[in-house]
Amino acid sequence: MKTTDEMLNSLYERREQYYAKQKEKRTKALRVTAACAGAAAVAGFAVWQFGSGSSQVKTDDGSSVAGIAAETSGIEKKNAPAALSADSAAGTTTTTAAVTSSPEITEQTTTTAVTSSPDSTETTTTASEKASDIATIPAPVPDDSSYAMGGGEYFFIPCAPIKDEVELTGEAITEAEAKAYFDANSRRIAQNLGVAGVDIAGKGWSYLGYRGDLEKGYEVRQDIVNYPVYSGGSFAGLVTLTKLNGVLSDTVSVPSEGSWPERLGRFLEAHKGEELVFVCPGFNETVIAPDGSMESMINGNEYFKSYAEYAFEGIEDPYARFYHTEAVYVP
Amino acid sequence: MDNGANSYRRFLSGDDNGLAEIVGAYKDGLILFLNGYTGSISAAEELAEETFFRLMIKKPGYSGKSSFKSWLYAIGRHIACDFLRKRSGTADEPVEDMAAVLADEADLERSYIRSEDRITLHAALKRLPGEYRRVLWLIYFEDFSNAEAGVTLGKNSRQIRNLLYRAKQSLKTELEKEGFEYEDY
Repeated sequence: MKTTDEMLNSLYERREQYYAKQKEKRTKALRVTAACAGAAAVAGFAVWQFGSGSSQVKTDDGSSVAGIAAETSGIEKKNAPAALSADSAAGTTTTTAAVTSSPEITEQTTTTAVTSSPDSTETTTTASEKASDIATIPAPVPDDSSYAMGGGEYFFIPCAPIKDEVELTGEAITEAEAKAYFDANSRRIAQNLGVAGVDIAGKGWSYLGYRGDLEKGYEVRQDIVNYPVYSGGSFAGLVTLTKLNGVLSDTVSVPSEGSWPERLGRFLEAHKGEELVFVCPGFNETVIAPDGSMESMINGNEYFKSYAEYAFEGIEDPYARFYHTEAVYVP
Repeated sequence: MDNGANSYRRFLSGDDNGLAEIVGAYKDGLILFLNGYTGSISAAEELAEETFFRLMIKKPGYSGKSSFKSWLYAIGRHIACDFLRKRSGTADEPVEDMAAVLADEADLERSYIRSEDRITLHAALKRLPGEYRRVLWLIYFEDFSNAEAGVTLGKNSRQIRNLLYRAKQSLKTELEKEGFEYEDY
């Protein structure tokens, strides 16, 4: 058993190692960024000089830029033509790698170059991991308002289940049912929201819920589904469909009635095309983006901030932890 | 603002002594609390260190809406749950020196709980189901209010009341088995 001093020494040592690791990662990332910037500059220069239509950029004496670059750096020529033959960013980046002639940068730049290829998912993951690692550098010290003593409020904050199982409950609302319902009720929903017309997709999300019972897994209620409502292309509110004994009913959440629908709208807009995870610890409906940012469907930012800290504190990567296809929505 | 909150605030301002105070004040209790999850004092010690490490590195904002201690224990609980989740797929690691581990636990009980009667009570807790053990630990050994125990264990006040009632009944049965006679709680 460690004494207090021994534990403290261990903590200080771990902290130093952690910061050293973070620094190393940040330096690497900066090198990659610099290399990418260089690549973009060279690519831009090449296009400006020789035009973008040429598939093989030639110099005055007829040799290719890639060939010269490869000779300069000692890198085998066989990589070079591919680099310049396509009009893709990947190709131009590899050229820069050759020009820089630094083995470390070459490796990093090539990685980045492959990232731009749509079928290279593995490398894309690596790049995003790096970004998330950098994001874990400690945040600045919060201001005094974070420490204000409240009026004895306590929250019900459940612990995330140990079992990674999802139980689907309730009567499922199908896409066709939702569409038919919205077609029949769009006028009323538009009136409730105070807009001229509404556009509601048939797809929505249910929350991944848990109530703190460690013996149970997650629950996704299929009979309660949320749908974002758009009007004139912009977010207008949220409509929640509930199915009970085969009958659908709705609840419309209007942005003017609280801050969260508006915040949710901004969040959906900012994360368009991303798989968002919708999770509900206790009664706090929360959406988490792949970059770890989150938004809560509770009015009042300060309240949410402390709630979210309680709800997910200690969970290293809430997005990964709660990612289940049953509770995902792509705006 | 309680002492833990003050120390944490000083730590966030750059004073490492603040963290030293937190570790000094809460280490033993946190280990014994986490032991209620892990059933292993050495694993609980590692998780307690991990809890302090998260404070140190991530510097989460403490809003003061519950006591610092219940907030800290709630973080520890999340880490313990993560640990249990990961461990559920693997076999328990063999304990190399069980005698040393038990001696460690006894030492910790003596230094933290002190009173012999309460050590006996704590020993009886070990025979109870995990949920009962944890709520009784917080209420009787950490002097948490029901609301604070609720924050730490992630339960609302009604759930805590029910849990506490069942836990007390269970503890009473255990103690009676050992020949203790107790008046109603």
